Amino acid sequence: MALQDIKENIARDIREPVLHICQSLVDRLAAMRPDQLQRLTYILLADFAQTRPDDDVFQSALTALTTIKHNPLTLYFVFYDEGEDREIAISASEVMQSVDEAVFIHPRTGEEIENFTGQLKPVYKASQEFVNALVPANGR
Amino acid sequence: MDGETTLRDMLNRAYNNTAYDVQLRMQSADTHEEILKQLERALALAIGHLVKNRKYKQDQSEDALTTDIVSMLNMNGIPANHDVKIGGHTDISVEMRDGFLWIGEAKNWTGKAWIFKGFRQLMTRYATGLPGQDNGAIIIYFDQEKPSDLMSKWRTSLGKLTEFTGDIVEVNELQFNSAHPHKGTGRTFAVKHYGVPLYWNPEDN
Repeated sequence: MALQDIKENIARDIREPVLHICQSLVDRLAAMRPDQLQRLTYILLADFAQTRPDDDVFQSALTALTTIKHNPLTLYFVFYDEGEDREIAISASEVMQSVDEAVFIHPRTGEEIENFTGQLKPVYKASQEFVNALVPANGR
Repeated sequence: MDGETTLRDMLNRAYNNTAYDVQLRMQSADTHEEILKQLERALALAIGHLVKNRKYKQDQSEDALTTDIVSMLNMNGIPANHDVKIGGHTDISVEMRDGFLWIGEAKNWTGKAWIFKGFRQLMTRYATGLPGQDNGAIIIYFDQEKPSDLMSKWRTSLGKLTEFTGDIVEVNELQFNSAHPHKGTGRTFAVKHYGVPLYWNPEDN
């Protein structure tokens, strides 16, 4: 799927006022290198969209871009592993399962982590389909 | 929220904000079942909003009421459309990632026959019946009194007119669920039937 097709799909399935934020984000992301698209924070994306991270329409735009057919973005979480001084990526579905079960297990040590909700940070990454669409568009 | 947003921040925001909770869980969903569950929560919110504002919805056409629901879904970031061609012009279609497709057929209550026409359109014209595309809805707008009685009539009528793959499940007086063989695939297609009570006649004047 070409980048233009992804954009046309967004224009077809999303309405204002959400649409223009989605288009701003996609245009901005499309100008980046694939390796820059793997850890996109709320504040970075909000900055791209020139809005506040807690804005309801911005939130709806993120929902649209992560759920639409040919979704450009995927939500995931990162957990900071102090022992190895690195972040560990965890799928959003696993995290929500932890929320529902009120249990989070350290992905490396297997220990239960207390107060885990404060230690998981939401970030976004470009979907593989979006990255693939960028290669012919950007020649990267 | 800022660059250090945490899951806790998100859950705090979702605590008294169902729409946000729906969005968070929809973004996180990795199965068709979870996407469907969140879509149906969003639909319930939209229907609730419509009923709350029924004073302003009197004498509106099916299309106008349906467009209101689609707009409310859109405002929650859900890619819902009205009048998209999928075997015919669907009232509400929601097409999402991973091959998910949900179709809602919406009708003003003018009698059982009109609703059954919508049901047949859903089952035989629009629904593909494929995995991830095997759920839909019949949404019935009532401007009559006691819509629960009319929903009951519709439920009884449906029981006489079509095949089922399981029992009808009554959720409440204004919603029941049914499941039917989809002729095109041989699989089960599940339908949720929502009654939308829009009767408005205040007696305090």
